[in-house]
Amino acid sequence: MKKNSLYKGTLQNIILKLLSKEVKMYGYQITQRAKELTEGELEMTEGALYPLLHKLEADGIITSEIQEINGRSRKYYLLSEKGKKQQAVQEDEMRSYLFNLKTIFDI
Amino acid sequence: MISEEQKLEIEKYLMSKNLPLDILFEVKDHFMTQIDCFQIEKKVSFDTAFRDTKEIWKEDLKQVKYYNEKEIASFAKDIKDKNAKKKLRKAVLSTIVALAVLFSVSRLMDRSDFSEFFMYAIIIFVSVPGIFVLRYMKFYHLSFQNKKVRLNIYQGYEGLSIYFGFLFPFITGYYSQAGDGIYQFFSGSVDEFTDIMLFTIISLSYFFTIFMQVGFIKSAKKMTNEINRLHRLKI
Repeated sequence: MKKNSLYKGTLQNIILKLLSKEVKMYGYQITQRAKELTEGELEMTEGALYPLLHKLEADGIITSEIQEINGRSRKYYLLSEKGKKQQAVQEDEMRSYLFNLKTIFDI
Repeated sequence: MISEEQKLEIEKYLMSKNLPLDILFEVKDHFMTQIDCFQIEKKVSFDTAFRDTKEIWKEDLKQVKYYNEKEIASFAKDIKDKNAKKKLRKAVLSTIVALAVLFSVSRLMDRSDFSEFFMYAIIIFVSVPGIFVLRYMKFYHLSFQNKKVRLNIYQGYEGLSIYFGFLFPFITGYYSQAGDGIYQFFSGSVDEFTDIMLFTIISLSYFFTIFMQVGFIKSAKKMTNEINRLHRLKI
């Protein structure tokens, strides 16, 4: 992360959430979408993104497919069935975590 | 829009960073998209956009030594390390299962039947990496032919595949002797502890090899077009 190391531990949640919304995405698109949604606040480093994508793929949480786009080979990532379930669970946990944090910081 | 010449320049730059092809082609697409965006957003030339992109990736593409002393980009090392640890964990689990199966079978058979069962089981298991090597010879051939290019993060275990696939049973004669010792160990004799230890170590190495080999083949299959293209370009 460029601006905030607090995002670091939530990178997996962010990727899974983006994939659940966009169905399939490639590496650069993930970095740009995260940046766009957070109005430039969250800048994923490539060195953090790709090892995590490969780990999630090895764990069977995401799958990949290679497509030819304008003469370029592009690797797209998609949520697997296992990943969809995991994403739903993680999203619930994250929402509860954020709600609790907000409660504490609002006092 | 990036020209073919510029595409080649990017590829050569990334090849110089010692990236395995499966990572390289993904990073190449990232580079090209990033350069395209910079050219449009910042209204700059290809050279400037390429330079800016290299700057962003500078830290991640920094060369570090891998365990075999070969250089590799730092983030690729991170991917390789995580992957190897995962395969090792799976190998440990598989070894435990193999020991449990052998123990159960030893309770159902007498000593000579068990030794025979063990011998055939070893021959069947050990022939799997050999069959893979023969079946997917083209990928192994490519990796041997061009030592500088790594096809994927799984490459580097070909030696082990060949050892387990062809040489191990013939060199060691292990398959014909160990069954008896393992049976005796499971029957309560601690004198045969060496046999069970040896089996555990060999089994661990074997399963690790198999998992790496399957990963190597699966990844190489996905990358066939890209491998052939780069090979034709003799990059």
